[in-house]
Amino acid sequence: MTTPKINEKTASSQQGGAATLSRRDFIAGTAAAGIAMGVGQTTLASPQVVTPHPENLLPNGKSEIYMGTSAGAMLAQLRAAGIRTLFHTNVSGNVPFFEAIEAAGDVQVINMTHEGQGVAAAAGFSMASKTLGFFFGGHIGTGNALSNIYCAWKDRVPLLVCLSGGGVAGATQGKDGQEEWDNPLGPTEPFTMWTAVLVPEDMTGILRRAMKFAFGPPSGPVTLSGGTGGQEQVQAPIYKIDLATMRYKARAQADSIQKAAQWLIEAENPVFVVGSEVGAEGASEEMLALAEKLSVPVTETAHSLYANFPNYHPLYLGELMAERYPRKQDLLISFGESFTTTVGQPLRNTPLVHISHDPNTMGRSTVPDLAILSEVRTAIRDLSDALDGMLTKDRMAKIRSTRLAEVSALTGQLKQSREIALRARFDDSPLTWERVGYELEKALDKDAVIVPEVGTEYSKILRQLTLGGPNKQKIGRTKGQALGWGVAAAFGVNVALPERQVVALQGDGGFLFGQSETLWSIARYEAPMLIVILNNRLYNESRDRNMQNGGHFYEAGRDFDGYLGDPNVEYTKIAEAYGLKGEKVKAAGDLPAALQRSLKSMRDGKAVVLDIDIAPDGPFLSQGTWYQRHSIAEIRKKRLTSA
Amino acid sequence: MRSRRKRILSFNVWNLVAWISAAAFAGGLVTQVSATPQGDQQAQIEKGRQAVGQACATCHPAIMRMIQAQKNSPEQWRDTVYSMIGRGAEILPDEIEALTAFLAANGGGNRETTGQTPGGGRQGAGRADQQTPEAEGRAILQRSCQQCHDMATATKKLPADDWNAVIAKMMTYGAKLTAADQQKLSGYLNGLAK
Repeated sequence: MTTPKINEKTASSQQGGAATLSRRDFIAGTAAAGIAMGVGQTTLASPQVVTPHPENLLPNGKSEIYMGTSAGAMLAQLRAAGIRTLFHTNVSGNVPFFEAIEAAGDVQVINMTHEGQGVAAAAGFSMASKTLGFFFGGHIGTGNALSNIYCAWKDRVPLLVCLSGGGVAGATQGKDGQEEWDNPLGPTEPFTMWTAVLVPEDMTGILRRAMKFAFGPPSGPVTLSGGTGGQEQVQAPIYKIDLATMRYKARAQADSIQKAAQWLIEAENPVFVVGSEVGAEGASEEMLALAEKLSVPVTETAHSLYANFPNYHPLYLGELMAERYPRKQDLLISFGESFTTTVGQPLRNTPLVHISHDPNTMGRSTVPDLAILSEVRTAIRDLSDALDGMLTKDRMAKIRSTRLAEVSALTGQLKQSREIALRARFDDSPLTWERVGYELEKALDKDAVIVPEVGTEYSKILRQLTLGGPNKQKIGRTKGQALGWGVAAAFGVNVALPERQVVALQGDGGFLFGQSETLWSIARYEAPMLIVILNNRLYNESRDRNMQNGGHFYEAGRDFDGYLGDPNVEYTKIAEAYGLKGEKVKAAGDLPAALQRSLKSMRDGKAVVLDIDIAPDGPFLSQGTWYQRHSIAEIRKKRLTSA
Repeated sequence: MRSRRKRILSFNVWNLVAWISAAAFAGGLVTQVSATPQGDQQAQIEKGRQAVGQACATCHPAIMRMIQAQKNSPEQWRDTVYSMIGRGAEILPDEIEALTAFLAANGGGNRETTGQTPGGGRQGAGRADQQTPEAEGRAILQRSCQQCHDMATATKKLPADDWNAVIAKMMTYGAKLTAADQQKLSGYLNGLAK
């Protein structure tokens, strides 16, 4: 990384005195002038006659005044922000809120039978719709809700979680009253952006601020107390909120973009790390275009939430940790990857440019050599424009073609290896994860949405699917990794995207983390989803980690908490108990027909639980069925007598 | 300035790759490739050794310890290679059999049982001269110490009791040594030319 090189193209265009200022020249010009991009655009652009756009008209400053109950004001403010879908778990005391909902006529309440599942569904809804999710329930369910509030925080999902009641700041503090503890939102504080009490005096103002803190950036859950039970008569201003415009869009300093572009040009072996912020912003097309511009290989970490880059593209290398090309990378550019998890951190002494719309992530887990705070989409465009201004077309083409040949050669071979691994055990029963992915790829719609909650085997399925670009999309697995998220999140995705096939990829162990409750909501709201349970009767991931270095339990074939096969759960019967279709697949050859039957059921409007027998990963683990047996029936002294 | 953690990780990964190479050389894994079946097998193992360094060690810094902890048949090792490809390991098509050969030759099952490979030859670090105490001690050093320490550590001159203390300390850090292993390793370290 040395001194900037002469910008041939920019120099020539400036000498030519172009009448119109291109975006590229503008960036070069502002860089030369040392002016920040966001400021420069208004000061240096050529004076032109501007036709007013309706969206740019000066807003009407008058607020609507709501008159009615404070709970009604709360609903009016939510509606004014475009929120029409409310996830909910039963609790008493919400009559004023429901009266307002009934009067409004355009708000849908989605009932969930457990607060944790309700929060996960609201999070899935938010991630799919890219709007603000909303859940309301009782404070007594705070404990139930915690793990998925935590997951939403790890995923930076904009979410309002209203947990009403609980004697907030009331006269009962310290009394250990019925269903009460002091500071009821306290347990949520470590993983929320903000907590607040909704009081009638400023119901809509507090709610507006809650939206601001939740929607960010940085975004994340906000927990609220009170509100939905409010019967007090209030006069409250209703703030018109356009979530898209309320969220500020940071833009990088021009000199930072110039520096990053210069490094990218000089690096022989740069690598892009594409993170969840790309998917969250919907910037995948821009990301693809930038990678292709110089044929920069693209990686992701294991915890990327979205299909940020087409996984079938020749530049897509897969996981950062596994990257083999280039062996001596000399520049990493992170586009919205936070590196907040252990897996996926850049390991080598490689210069790092970290681009993010979230200032809290930069410098947290890694120390970037250049930190760029910007909306990622804008940074990608600016970087692309800067490259256009710094490289001739010939030089760009030369870099592109040479590198593309090298990366394509590797990714082509890796694809062959995956095909060999798939075919080697193609007809195995129990099935391989790869075979399940292969059959899903053949059967599902091109634009299906996959919501995985599986362990480290996820790649075996997902690399068989064409993800990203105009093809299938992926939401999850949650970075929080707390099991009990996937089915409800997938349901929330289906609520947001009713026209898409939604598939929950669920490990059997994860399903047993209290997820069958969501089948009630799936049945109630006729969500025609596919829930695939990858059933190896095992917490395979944790056993793998516990045993991969050998040790006493490995040698003895013992695992105190990993084996799930006794009892052998019949997931199809759980589905049928909720009125859904259940189907069991034991042999590989049966899967294609079972999938077709599932798709027919889904077309007819009924969800399917497809329980597939999966081989445990790793032959050394396959025989482990030992568990510490304990039978109360055997040890009891007294036999219960029949009446 | 890079973070200390990153430097440590970086050091470990790259030194591991280097030490997989060093261990293989010291143990006699790398031999002249000949046209004989044994020579072909050795060539495969050598190719597998290189592939481990390139495709496995990036995610598994303690890969040699993991390999030696597992008692798999060659077929099971091949399935493991397939599994890791599915998980995202960047293993090339022509490395699959080579990796399988290397894993089978160095896995714990092979070490703990007969040392026989599918081809019938004795493979793995130190196998050819395993009968001498020196060779046994060197094999233990390679297997249990060099994953984390370079050879210079072992060339320090220490009294026997001190080496025993070092070995005991290392076992608290996770080194897996039987009482016999400890004795052989101590003897080997004391016998090194200082």
